[in-house]
Amino acid sequence: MKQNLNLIMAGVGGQGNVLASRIIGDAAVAAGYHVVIGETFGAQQRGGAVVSHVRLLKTERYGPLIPAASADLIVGLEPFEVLKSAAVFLKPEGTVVTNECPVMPSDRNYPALEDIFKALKKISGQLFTLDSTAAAKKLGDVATSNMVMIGAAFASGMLPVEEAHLLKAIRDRLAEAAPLNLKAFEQGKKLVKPR
Amino acid sequence: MNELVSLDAPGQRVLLMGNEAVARGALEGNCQFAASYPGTPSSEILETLGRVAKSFGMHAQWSTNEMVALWSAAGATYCGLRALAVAKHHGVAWMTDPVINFAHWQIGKGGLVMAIGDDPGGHSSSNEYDSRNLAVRVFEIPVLEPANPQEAKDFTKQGFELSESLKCPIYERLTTRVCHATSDVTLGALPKERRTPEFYPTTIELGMEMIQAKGWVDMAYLHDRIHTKRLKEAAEVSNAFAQNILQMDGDEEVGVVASGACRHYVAEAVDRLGAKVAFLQMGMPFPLPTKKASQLLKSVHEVIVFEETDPVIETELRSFAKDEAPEVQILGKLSGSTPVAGEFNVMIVLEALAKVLNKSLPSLPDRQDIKDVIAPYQGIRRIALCAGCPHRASGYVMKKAREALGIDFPAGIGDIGCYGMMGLPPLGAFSLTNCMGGSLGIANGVAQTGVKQPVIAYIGDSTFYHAGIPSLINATFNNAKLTTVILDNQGTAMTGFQPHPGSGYTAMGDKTKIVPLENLVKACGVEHVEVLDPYQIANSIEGAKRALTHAGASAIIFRRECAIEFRRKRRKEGKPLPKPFTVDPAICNGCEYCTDEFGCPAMIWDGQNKKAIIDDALCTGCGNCAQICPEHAVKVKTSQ
Repeated sequence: MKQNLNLIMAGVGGQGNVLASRIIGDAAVAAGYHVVIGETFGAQQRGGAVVSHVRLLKTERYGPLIPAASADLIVGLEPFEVLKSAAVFLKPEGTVVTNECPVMPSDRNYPALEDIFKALKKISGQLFTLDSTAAAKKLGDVATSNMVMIGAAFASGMLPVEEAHLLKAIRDRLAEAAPLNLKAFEQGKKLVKPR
Repeated sequence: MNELVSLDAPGQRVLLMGNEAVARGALEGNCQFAASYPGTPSSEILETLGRVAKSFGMHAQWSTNEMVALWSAAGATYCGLRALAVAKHHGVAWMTDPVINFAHWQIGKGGLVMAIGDDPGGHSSSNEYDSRNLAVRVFEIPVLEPANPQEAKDFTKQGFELSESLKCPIYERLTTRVCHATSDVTLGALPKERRTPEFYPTTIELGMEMIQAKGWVDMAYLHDRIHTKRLKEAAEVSNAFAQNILQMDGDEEVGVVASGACRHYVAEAVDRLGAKVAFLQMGMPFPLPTKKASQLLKSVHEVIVFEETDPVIETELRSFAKDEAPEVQILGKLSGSTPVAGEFNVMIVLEALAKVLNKSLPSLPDRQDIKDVIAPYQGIRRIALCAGCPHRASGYVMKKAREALGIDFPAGIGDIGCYGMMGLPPLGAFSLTNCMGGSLGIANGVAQTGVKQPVIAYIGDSTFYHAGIPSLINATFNNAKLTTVILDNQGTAMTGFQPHPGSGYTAMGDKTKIVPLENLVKACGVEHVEVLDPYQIANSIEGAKRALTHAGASAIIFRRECAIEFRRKRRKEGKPLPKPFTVDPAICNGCEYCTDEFGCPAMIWDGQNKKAIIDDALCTGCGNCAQICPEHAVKVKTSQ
């Protein structure tokens, strides 16, 4: 029996948030869900906050934005942006899967990472983390950090789609860049740890 | 990536963005002409059509402005082809005069759909006005309001059929949450045959009809038939429209009316409240589906309306209910039951509905402790020009030129584009912005008063082609002493770098002639024109000083391609990117000139070591900071 799933992808502009949300969306359509995705942008520019709302729905079509305190899962490319989204959108006992590596603003005014993880631990039912930026850099392209996070989200067991659906979506959307991105997906699966 | 939008697979479900779905609807609806000027949230409609137009025998163009786009689309309808005109709500204001005339005088034999992206909340706009007011009260044409990408596709296609039967433009009102929602859409069939264009001015027919009816030319006749004929026929269409859905058992006490994305918010809010309401969804709100509205009004005690952003449906419904069911209370913006401005969402609808239904709101977790962790850092990713943006260099050049000339507070007026951020510190080029082309128009008025300060109008390349030319001619014609600064980054950058007449290619990717800005500016009567590369900072400051001290009208064209677009192209062509720069910590004396005066996001202030450092991931290698550093501490990074 399918369940509705409200998923938020949080990051900053340039991290590949939007593409990641489309890949999860494609996989969910293949899995038989109705999908609706909405985006909110802070400043529409590189480096501004980007939040994608991805809703996997059984039959009824809801709108593209997830209501407050209703996200089952938040997948994050940037820890502080994850915390900002979680404070508003995560439902009590919801799951968070996040990259550990911050994107610093130019004046380096940024909360202590430990405070972010402590707060995330407090408001989530399950918290999974990994350094997807480092994993992506190791693969040779920091831009694959988003696929590392999809792998991690899949490994959390919260995505109601089959691995094959995700792999096909990555192949379809990324064409010649797919092999590297599939490796990134594998790395995410392998590296993610409960915290 | 595969072009899902052109997939010939009826019945297949694919993920499409609302804007792509409108494009698909145009293809399925046998539209052969599309024109637009870029504007968020609707830019991707024409962008998508531009990519696939050729394989569908369609012409798709970026026009110089929305008015031209609308005229052009109408031109195609006079040749019997179906045409799509696309704009954001600001652009509709430009279309106004032609649309009123097309509504009164008819369009050609081909159908015309106006796909308009309103922006409730003004996410990407200078205001959030509700353009349905124009469609309903000024254009007097039918309005379709899709709620999601599927309807965006279907309504676009239906719009052409409707337009041909009612002989007027059809107003497809989209909003940000429809344009930028991505959802699974079931594809329909693509047409197999294309129409052959044949010029046929339907105005002759209408003119004959008018003369027969009135004996001679009578403009009131044209207006009269809108009300006595077209809107009556359209009301019948609205009553039969499949997406004007009334869900009602008859025992509900409260009725809800909603249009656009609000239909989804209502569905979710009702589920959450576990409530039972009679629900009239309006996919075609104008003309009002009076039969369904009457059924609803006669069955409930109160009706609450959810729509964005003005009470358009609410007003129509109130006036209808006054005779039809005067005892029924109509709630909404006019009654203070819903917010009068801003974008709606599930929570807003939930709150208003709970009050009407006398239900308690589901409680939200408090999380004050978490919010306290966030609060001090809330605004850390503040809006700024991108690293390497040529506008930053242009703003810096203008600031230094002003300083050198002792001009501390010029009458600076900005315009619409990324360069709007030149008004912010540390560049502070201007403190006033209006709408497309407003800079030069306002600057003329300011200059004519004889104020003491020099008058400087800042306008983008695309904005100048769009709306700057008449204002500049007006200024020189009336002997205004002002300096026009054109920020030429060689594309319409803010909306995703669509081409314009200075780019050398079209929406369909064809090579085309360039219409040089300097020729236009000179032809508009400006005697002194400086064409400067803002990356050559010292040289540009001298040029800017010459322009600012010129006795008559002068212009500066700062020409340098958008840094993001430059890098995108280089990557695509497999060419190396410029090397990032680095600060030599032995030379940097921590004066903070770079961060205070220039403000590039790649230049990071390391407060602990009291030195500037450069983030290689952001640095575009423009080298501007190396030119402005008083200590010459910035150099190309040699070791990678």
